[in-house]
Amino acid sequence: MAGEVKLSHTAALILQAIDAGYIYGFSLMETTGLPSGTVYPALRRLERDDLIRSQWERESIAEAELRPQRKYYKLTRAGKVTLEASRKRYPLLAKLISSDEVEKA
Amino acid sequence: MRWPCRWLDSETLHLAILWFAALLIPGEQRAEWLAEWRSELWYVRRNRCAFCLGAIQDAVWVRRNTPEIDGGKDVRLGSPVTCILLLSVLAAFSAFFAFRLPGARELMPWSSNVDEQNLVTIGSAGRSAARSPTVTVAGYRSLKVGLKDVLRETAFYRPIRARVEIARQQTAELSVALTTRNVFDLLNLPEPVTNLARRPEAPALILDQAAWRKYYNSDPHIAGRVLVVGGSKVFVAGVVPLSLRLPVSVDAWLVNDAQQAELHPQTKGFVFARLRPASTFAKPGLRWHVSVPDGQGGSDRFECASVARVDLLFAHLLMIFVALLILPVATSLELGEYPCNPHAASLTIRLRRWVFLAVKIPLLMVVVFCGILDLGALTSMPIQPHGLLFGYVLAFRWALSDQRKRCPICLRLVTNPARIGSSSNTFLEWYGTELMCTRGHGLLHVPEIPATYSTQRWLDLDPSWASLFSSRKV
Repeated sequence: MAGEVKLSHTAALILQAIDAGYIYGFSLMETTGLPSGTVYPALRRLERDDLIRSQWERESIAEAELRPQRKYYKLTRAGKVTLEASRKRYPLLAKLISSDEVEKA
Repeated sequence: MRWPCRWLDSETLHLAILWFAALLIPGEQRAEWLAEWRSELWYVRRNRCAFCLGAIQDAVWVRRNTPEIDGGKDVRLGSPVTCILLLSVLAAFSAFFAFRLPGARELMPWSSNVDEQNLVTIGSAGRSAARSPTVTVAGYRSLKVGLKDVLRETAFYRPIRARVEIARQQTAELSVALTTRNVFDLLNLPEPVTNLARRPEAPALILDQAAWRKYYNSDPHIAGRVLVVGGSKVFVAGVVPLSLRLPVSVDAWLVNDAQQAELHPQTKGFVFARLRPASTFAKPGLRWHVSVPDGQGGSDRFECASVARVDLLFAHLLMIFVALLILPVATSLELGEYPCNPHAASLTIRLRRWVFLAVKIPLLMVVVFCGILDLGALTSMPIQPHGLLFGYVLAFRWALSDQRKRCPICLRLVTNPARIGSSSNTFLEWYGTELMCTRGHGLLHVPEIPATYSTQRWLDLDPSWASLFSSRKV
């Protein structure tokens, strides 16, 4: 309990959305309804706290689909643990964004 | 409303917002940060401008949470280029408002199109500057006769509210000054501006430039048109951009000799007069009283006030001179001694230091001059001479202390203050603050108590010390 990171509702919502498969910044914005000035700083905070990890997708994938390369996010092991704890703290979190949804790349 | 939406949707605007936000990002992270936002922007279809504005918040967060570089504040803020840019922006803003604010613009040395020398306003005793008319028609006639040796010419005008034809079937209530025919000759405005001589007997209307723009859409063919003013037809003689400050704002001047002659002797108005050349009364701000026989055995007392303004350019130069004289008293810095050994730096570096100071000074002068005019216009207070002196003293003081707080080699602000010595040993050992140049050029020692034996000094560090400081190239 002492090492548990307590997240705000916004951060927990973003973690839930990433876990649900919304791995890009803009898709997180659309899913959560939060503005860009909230989502992107929150992503950086979560990455700084080692709850998520960012990575640029392969250039070949973007070139094949004729679009720019994007950065995507994934939960780390600590992030998954923290998300579980957040679901207990915010019971409606799972219902807001269902983990069964997977965004196609 | 379509035009603003199209402008907000402009791709150029979005990229400009991202680019400016990226300036907040530390240099090493900037390229990746910008690439991330540009790639995300590609996918945004709606509210792209709002999306880009979020980048500013993100950039601020990144800046605040980036570990400090070079052991101190971000060196970008201490850069001499940043200092010059900030001063330039400040000077541009203050100059912009000085040209836009009416109260400031009319104080500019080149703003008046009226020869204010020898021009006076006349009112009843103690009321030459009153906002309501104080001189009767009878008094005006007495003035013309009684002061003909002092006054070369006098003019009388009386502002009234009248309905003036703006367009077909459309009128507006304007402030119209019923005036004597010689008012524009008296103000020495050029003849083509008025065209009064073309129809010397007909009633004529001369529009003020601001009213011409507002009510007649700057119609270039307005001269010669016949308008209905207060039920009477008058022809428009021309447009006059009068920069003279009047007690009451006037939208138009009506020259109607017949109507002027019918005015009751007790009707009140304002009086302008032009003094004879070489008059000793033509001094800025001068007021004096005169008594004139009223033709009925008594006398009328009037107050005359010179319209001429203090030459602000002269006041500006005078205040600069006085501020420079006061500067040694206003600062604790030793002006005759520079803490750096001049022989340790090359001629180019020394010259660059002087050029930096030479660029700062004119920018500061613009900021002070225009800023004081703006402040006077906003507060409607005559603060110019005193404000200029105070402003210049502060500006020169700041320029000097800023110059002393910079590394003489790279001109960046020295940082990381560290206390050296202890106050209890003030007279036994050196006690003060040590600051360093983050690029390893040297250390600045500032004594806690400046004295003749203890002043600021610069300790040069040879290039071998650079490895302990920033990893950037010198």
